[in-house]
Amino acid sequence: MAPSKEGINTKKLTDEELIFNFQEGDTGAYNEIVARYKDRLTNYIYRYVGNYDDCDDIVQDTFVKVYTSKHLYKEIAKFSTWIYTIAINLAKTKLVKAQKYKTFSISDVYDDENKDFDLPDEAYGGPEVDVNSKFLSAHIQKALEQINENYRELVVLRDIEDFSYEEIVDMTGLPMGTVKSRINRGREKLQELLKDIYKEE
Amino acid sequence: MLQEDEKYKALRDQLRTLPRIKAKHDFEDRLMRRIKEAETSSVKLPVTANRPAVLHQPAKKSWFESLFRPAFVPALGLTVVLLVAVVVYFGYYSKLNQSDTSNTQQFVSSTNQGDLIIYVKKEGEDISSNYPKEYSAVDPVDTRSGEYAPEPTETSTDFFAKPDPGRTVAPEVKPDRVSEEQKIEMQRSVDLDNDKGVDVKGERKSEDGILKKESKGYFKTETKSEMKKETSEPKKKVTDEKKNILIDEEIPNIQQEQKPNEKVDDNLGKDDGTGNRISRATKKDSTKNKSESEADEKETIQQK
Repeated sequence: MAPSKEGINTKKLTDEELIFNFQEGDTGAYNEIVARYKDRLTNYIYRYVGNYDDCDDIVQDTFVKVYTSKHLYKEIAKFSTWIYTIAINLAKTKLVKAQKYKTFSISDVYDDENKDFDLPDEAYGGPEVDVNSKFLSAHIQKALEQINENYRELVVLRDIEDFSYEEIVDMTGLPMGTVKSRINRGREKLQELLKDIYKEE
Repeated sequence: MLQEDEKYKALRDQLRTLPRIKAKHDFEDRLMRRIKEAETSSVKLPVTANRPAVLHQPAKKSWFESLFRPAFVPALGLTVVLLVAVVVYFGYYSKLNQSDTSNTQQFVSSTNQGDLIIYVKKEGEDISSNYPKEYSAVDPVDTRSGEYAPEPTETSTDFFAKPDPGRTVAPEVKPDRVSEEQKIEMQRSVDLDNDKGVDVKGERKSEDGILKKESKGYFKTETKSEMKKETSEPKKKVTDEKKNILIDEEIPNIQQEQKPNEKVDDNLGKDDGTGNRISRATKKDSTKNKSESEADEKETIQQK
């Protein structure tokens, strides 16, 4: 990323310092924020939404929102919590719209074995894995999509993005007990769906 | 917390091993483009808000052009046809109707007596003479009293209520259905009744066979059996003056009825003032009864 106006290497700055610099007009700080969070947010949103194109749109909207609403951030919470909260809300809105105007493809009619899985194209920087790992990740992604979206959101934040419970509470605004119970229920459901994988292992 | 995480350790490890999804290569370029679009749209909005809206103003048309538009052609045609129809009606047909009505203005009415009277009113005719003189008793010129009641104006209802007797059509006189022979028989029966001393005029026969006899101001009903009894029994030698004089229904006083024969004779054939007349049969009956009473007295004297 390009250095800031003042010539300070933005890579050494924390997220909060970057956003403060950006609030003061340092566009380099904004570029550093985008560089740090674009993949993390894409991964999280993809696991939550399950569609790469939608995921890309949501992440783009998230960064546009950060750019236009930079003055709204205050040093009460961590920047990561704030930007993830924006991404979660946009993803939920996108899901609600998708459910409202749901379209069925011809592949939905066929059996699950013949169903195609929407995986990111490697040309766009997708996971560089072999066929087995591709199949495994697709299977897990399918299991994630089958559980309730409230559970899925929290399980992804905890087990994939590795956020602490406190951070999840800050992001979602839910009570700690609700977060824990939802995470456990989501795990149980996910474990039932992925039984065959564990047997093989 | 840790216990729960350890419980699902295998699952967590599996989820962590999932490949990381990366953003597209041109992610930053597309993001910059979108940010610029957002900035330009946010900048343009206030400019457009401050700028007064320039509406498309069509060229002004004259009222003639706006009236005779192609859309109004059917409506205009219909109005023209209606106007022509109205003009023709009032210019031609209304005159014909007026001439028809001026010739004969007939009013059909029915009087209380049930006679159908047709009044023909001519134009310019004064029908004020049909009204009673009471209305015009006070001279309209006389200003001494303010209680002048003017002659009533002619209205259709007044005209019907007070018909002109001079113009009324006389009812048809129907021919007498009773033949001469029937008249002779009726006269005979009347004479017989007179001989028996029965007042024929005071009796009426109802449909159910009951004879009603007028006496003392009210109807006295008698059945046929009672009549037979009367006819079979010998006549009582009572003067028929009471019976004959009691024709007047409105005189309940008996003392008035038992007037001397002289007075009765004076009133014979005259109107008694109440509208009823004493029949001439009473005169005959009274003379006959006198002679009979004298004969009876003679017989009693001879028997003694």
